[in-house]
Amino acid sequence: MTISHEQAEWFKSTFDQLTDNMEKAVLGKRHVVRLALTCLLSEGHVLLEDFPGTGKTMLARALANTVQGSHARIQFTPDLLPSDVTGVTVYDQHKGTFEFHPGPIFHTIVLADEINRASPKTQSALLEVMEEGRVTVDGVAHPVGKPFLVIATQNPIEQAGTYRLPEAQLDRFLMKTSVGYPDRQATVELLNNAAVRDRAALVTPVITAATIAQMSGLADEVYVDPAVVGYVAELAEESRRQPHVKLGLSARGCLAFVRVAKTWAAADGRDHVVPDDIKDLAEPVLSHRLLLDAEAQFSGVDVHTVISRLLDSVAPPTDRVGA
Amino acid sequence: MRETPSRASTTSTRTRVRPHALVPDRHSWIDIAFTLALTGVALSAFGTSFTGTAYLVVGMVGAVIAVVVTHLTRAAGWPVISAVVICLVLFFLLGGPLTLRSLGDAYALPGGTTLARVADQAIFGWKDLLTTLPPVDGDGPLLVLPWLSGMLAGMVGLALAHLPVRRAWLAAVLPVAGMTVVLCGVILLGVRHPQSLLVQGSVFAGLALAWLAIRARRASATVQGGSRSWTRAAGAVAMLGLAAALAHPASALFADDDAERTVARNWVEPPFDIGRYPSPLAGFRKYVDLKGKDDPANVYDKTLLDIEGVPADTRVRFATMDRYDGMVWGATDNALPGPADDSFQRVSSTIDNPVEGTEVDATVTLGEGWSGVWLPTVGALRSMRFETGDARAKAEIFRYNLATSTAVVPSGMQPGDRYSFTAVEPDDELGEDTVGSSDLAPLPQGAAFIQGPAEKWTEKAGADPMDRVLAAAEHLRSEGKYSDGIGRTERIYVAGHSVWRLSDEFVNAPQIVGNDEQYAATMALIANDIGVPARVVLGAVVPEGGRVTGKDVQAWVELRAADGSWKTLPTERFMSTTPPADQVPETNTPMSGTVIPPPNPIPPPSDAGEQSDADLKERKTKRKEADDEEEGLIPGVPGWVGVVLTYVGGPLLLVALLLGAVIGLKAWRRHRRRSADSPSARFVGAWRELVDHARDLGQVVPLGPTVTRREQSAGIVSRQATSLARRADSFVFGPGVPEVTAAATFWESVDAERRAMSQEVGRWQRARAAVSLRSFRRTSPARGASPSAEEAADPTSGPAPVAGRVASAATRLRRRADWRSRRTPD
Repeated sequence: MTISHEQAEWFKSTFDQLTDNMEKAVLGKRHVVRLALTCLLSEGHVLLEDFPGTGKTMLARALANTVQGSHARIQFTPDLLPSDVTGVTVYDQHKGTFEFHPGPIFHTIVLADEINRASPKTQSALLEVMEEGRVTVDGVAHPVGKPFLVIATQNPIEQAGTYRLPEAQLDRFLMKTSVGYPDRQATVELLNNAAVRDRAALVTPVITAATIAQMSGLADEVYVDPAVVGYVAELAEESRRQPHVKLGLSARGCLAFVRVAKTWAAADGRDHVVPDDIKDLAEPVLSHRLLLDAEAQFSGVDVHTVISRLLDSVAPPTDRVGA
Repeated sequence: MRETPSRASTTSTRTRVRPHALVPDRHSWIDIAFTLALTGVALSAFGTSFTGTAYLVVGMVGAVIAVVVTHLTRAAGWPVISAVVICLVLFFLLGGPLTLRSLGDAYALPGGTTLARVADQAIFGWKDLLTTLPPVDGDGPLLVLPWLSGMLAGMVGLALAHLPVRRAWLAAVLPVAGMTVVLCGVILLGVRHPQSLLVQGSVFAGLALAWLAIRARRASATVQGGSRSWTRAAGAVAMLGLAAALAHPASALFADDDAERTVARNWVEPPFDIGRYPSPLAGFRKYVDLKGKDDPANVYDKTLLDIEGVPADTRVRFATMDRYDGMVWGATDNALPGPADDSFQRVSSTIDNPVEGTEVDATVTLGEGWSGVWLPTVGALRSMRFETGDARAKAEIFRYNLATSTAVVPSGMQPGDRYSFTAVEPDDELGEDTVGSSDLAPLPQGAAFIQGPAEKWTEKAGADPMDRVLAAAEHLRSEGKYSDGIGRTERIYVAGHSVWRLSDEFVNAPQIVGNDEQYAATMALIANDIGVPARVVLGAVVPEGGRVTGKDVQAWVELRAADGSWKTLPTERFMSTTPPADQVPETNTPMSGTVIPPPNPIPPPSDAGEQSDADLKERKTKRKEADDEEEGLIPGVPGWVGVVLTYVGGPLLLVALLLGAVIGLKAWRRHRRRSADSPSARFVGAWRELVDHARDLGQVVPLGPTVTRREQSAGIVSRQATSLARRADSFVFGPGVPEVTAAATFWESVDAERRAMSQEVGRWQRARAAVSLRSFRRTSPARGASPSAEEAADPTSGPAPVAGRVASAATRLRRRADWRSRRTPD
């Protein structure tokens, strides 16, 4: 069963409302906002990598505020322990039993600020919850509920005292994107409202968790033609053959690609995915999944160049399979 | 790179591109061998145009060079245009030493002059070849043409053989078709008589069929369970032999004779106009005896020429005049009906003259009395060699008319000029049993006056045309009188042979009086009226000693026999030598005393050696008008209209056909897209139609295999392009199977948008878009360059070698082929 045209239109209008709402806080970054929302509706997580002061935290907080649900912020530091994130089991002397005290991860929207400052041990504490939506402490699994979105941020220039996220951890993020500096018009508007200390506070919840779950279910029903699926598979194969690429797109990455493309198509009011969706999302979906070799840096090749070459070397389908 | 089984199984029609080895493989050797063999056969058609075999050697050298260059550039992975450029450079560098040795340009490193000569011959040599009576000198500068043809043939043949074509039949046919075009081109440049029907027809066809079969088999799948290879080979050879054996005699049944062969010479008009020279017959009186009167133009006693190598009484031909325009008998081109070599063409030192007879080897030294453009010769020329003066310049402009055996040097000949020639003196004696030609020779305009006298003089001669001609000649000889118009009492017998002179003052006069000029002119008109084609010849009968003076000059008539030869009707057969009586003939009609008779017409000056410019201009104008009216290029249409239609309408028609072909091709392409098998393919085709329309309108639309419809729509200046791209995508990639009716509706939307786009531009741009070829060009390759996996594996990480780049390109092409195979063929 596929999504109907009316459902797609409703999806689009709701998505646009969410985007407009978040834009109250994040000025001039509609595309990034849409990407973050797409992640949320695809039941994935987003990694924001950008310079300080570009609005990463603002985006995360605005997203948290626009959904009617709980949200928490975890400031990752080198001395942060896994239990500080997941929670801890303590002994209740009155009852004589062990009780689980959930950590900040048990919220609808979790902002993992500067995630690469925590130790690998603490980073790894996020693996299970990001993939399976539950936390296992002392052999007991505790689901975090739905919707659940982790928005992690990291700073690409301050590398001292940081721990690079392992590939397995990176693969858990559906997308990686950057906010970037605002353009002139947005900057001027920002400065004109300099009195507003917390722009995220301007964002009020406009959607319930149940609606988010409903939209997520609709996105899953968006039709993907076999030709488009083949295109994704071809991109994955080609990514592993690209020069200077040590690690190409994984099967989990392919799944993420299709999943996020469905949501992206529904957000455009369509009941089907087109090759343009794949091309649009290639950068945020692939940029953290492609691992380049050491010579790439010396050759002046970065991951953006590789993705550009990848898209140039694989022709998208123009007709359906078997036509 | 190894193919995974799954990939290999998903795409059955995969184009595999490999880097090509420097040493040709078996297939390449076969293609090279056939290219060179067919080139050799094609070039052999030049055998009728050139003497010797240098043309074949030079042409084959060019072909070999072109083949080598084409193969090497392919091995290096360079585009075809690089082979063209290299061949062009070699063409100029080697062109001088190979083809211009006769001009002294044999240096290994050609200078600017040599390069300019090669370019000049390559561009303008074709015209020289077509306007020169074949065969041309085999070691002359026109060798540039076989040199160019060979190089062109070698390059075209091998380049087309290597052209990557998806359709197997097209890949097999293309190079053979290219070589056939080369053969046709060479034949067109040749002459009507083929060099060898066996070589040009059967051998070429056999080679072409064999190549076609080999390439078709190479391009198609291997037949399983068929006959053994040697059995098939023997069968193929047998069939080819049978076809070749049948083709030769069959061609004789179905093909026209040589005279009907179409070659470029049929259409190429030599730029020489013999009609602008005055008729030598009109100046006949400079050869007559003035009886003591002094006239510097008169050459009666002066030496015209000294001729050696011919016996006395040999007739030396000055000029042949085969057309009467009411004023004079003059020389002209194409007076003979039907296709014949009846024009003054440039000739080389040797002339391929088919006339048979006694061979003559003569040398002529022009005397003080000779001037003008006409060149005295004997019989039918076989060769000509100028020995004095600027001999080479004279040889360059020397022209000869095979049909009239008349030679001309447009720059003029001067006393003292000397030349030698070999010729064949045919049997031109008019015998008793000579039968006149039955070719219809229309009576010239204004010559109707001759019909009455001719009928009257020949009424007792029976029905045989030749008998009637001889009877008329006898009547003229017996009844006529001879006078050169010299002397007080004979001044009334004026010079000239206009209608007035021949009618009122000759055949219709109380007494027929005149000299060679009037007699020969009249005799030729009578013969033409009776039905025997005739022409007037001005020449001389060689006296003892070989010194020809003015007194030896005569004008005689030649009659065309049934076998096509021309027979001489000597002056003595139709001209009287009896002088007229001294009494002045009365030419005025007796009138009554009250009526004043009109004055006699003022005759032209009797002693003028040449006609005045005014006379010539008037005559030329009248002749041109007569040509236009009588022999318009299109029957029933005024001459000037015919000329315009022929020379302007033809090219216009050709252009219109080409433009129509482009429009038709686009319509066919549109129809093919609109009626594709699957509805989704129709959506794809409709979008491509819109893209092509935008390209034809000059819009810069993103193209390439990695560009999507949405990306293309951003480059199309159209209100609905984005919407249409979205609609096409929704039907193609949407969940439901698109219906035919939806495709038809979409096509209507696209058609409407195309019309709207056309309305946005001006009329001229719309017309240009309709015939634009832009949308037929191949789409550009994908943006950027994607190094291949092979390149990635190269630890040097430096500039990729040629083989690596070729492998990279092959990988990319293979991947694109995978996806193209999923598309609707366009």
